[in-house]
Amino acid sequence: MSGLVLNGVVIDDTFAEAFPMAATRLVITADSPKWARIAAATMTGFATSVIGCGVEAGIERALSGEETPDGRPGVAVLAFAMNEEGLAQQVTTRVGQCVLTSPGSACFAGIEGGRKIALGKALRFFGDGWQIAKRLDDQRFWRVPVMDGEFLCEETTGSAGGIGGGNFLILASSRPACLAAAEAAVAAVAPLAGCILPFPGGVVRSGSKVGSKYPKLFASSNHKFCPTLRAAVPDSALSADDAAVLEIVIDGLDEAAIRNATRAGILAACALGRDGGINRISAGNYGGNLGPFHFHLHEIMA
Amino acid sequence: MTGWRLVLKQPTGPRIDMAPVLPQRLSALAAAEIRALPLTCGNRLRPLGALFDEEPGDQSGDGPTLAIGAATARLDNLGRDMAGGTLAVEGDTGAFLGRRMAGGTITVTGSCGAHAAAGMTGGTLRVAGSAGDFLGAPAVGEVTGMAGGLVVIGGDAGDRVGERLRRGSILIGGGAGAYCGVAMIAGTIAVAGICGDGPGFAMRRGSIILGTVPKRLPVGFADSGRYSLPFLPLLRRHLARHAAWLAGSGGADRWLGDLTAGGRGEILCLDRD
Repeated sequence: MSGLVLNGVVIDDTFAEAFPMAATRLVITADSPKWARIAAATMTGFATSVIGCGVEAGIERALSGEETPDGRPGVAVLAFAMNEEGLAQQVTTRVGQCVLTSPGSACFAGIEGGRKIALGKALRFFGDGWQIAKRLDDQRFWRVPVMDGEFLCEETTGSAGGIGGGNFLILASSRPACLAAAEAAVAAVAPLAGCILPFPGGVVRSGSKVGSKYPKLFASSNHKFCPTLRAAVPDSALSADDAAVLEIVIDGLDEAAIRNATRAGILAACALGRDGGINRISAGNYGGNLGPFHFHLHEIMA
Repeated sequence: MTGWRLVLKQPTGPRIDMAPVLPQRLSALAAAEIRALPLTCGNRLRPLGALFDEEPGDQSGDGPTLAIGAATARLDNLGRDMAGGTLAVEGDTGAFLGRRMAGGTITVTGSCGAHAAAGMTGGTLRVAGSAGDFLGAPAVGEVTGMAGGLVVIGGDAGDRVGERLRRGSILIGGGAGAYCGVAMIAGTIAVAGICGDGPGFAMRRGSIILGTVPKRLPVGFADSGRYSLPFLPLLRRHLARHAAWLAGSGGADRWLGDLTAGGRGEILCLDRD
């Protein structure tokens, strides 16, 4: 550890190691902000980690009627997967099961370029022949009859290269203090464009390391940061004052988005200060050998 | 040189086939070459210089531009096979304006004759005045009508607007004649004023948007109820960029048809905002 300290909180001289991913953005609208958010939250449910969910997804931000194609309130959603094929499969399935089914919903592309991911192109068949296509300039829309009217859906959305696995760790002297700092970090990141925090409430309590003593498992608990193992494992990263650790995982459309989110989150977490029970900020990496994107905390916070 | 202006010398006389006169083509020619360009006038070929005075036109545009001054209805096939650039017509045009047009923009300050936009696949055609019969309809011997692009008419249009329309949008600020959208395959037709008999007759798919409730619709149209779903504001917002009368947030009465032809098209009668 070197000498960067914010409000009494030590910032480790380390880095978060992140990976390239395939990404897309969707715009989901509904008759009210409430139902747009319900559709988006349902679609991005069980999408915390590509390891077990196939996709990492979350709500990027709420949209006003002036920002959506149909003039209704909406939500922008970002989704990330390890490759374009996996992303396309997940997005189409999730829109079909979670957005198409949500009352009054409509779904539009939120990003241009890249490989096209089927939305209405695939879901139109639910219309059983009664679906209607309409091309407006370069955009094609499908109107699929459903029981509350029509599901309006753009034919495809675009895709882009994204980055998954940006992160930082909050080490605190108590669990309530750690959670309070994590909540502050999430609130600070929430308004930022181009990134999501895919885990529950934006927070991870089960940080992982690569591999396990059990050969069939790809990942297992990051024992270095488990406070209950502090006395048992020789390579524990925790001191006697560290009683809880929470991780903020960030997926972004580019390096700048993750860098901005990391900085905003750490500043918010550190605002509680050492007096508020926050001891250190660290980050998870694999020695720099696995992911090409390294987000050095000292550079970001300089 | 990227822009020319041609001024018609005689408003009356035999009809002139203007198909060879395209912005892209003329932008690559010198004045003498333009004057020598042969045009079919009536039943004989005449050099362009005998029919028009040429002068440098707008040089400020990004692409090739061509203006036709003192234009009258004796000018047929203006913008035929046009793929890019800008053609500005000051006055009226004859038949087949924008025939097989694939790109670029045509503007007409006056009115155009029959068969405008026949075979059109892209680009934008704007006529401040009125249009004749068969706007966007198939030319003789062709199976489908207009297959892409945007047509905006400020005034009225004649009979059989958008017959067998395959794709694209036709927006009419005035009224339309009989059988608007007859046998329409897809695409969008919007008419602000009164529509003649038989709108949408035998249409298969596509949308006809009417700003004025018609006296009656063909028997194959079934009342599909009130329509205020998200697609309508999306469509209105898109089309209102080209025709202001389509702006608004109101709903519509929706009619489905033409069921006698197995059709699943729609006629949307807009609310008055």
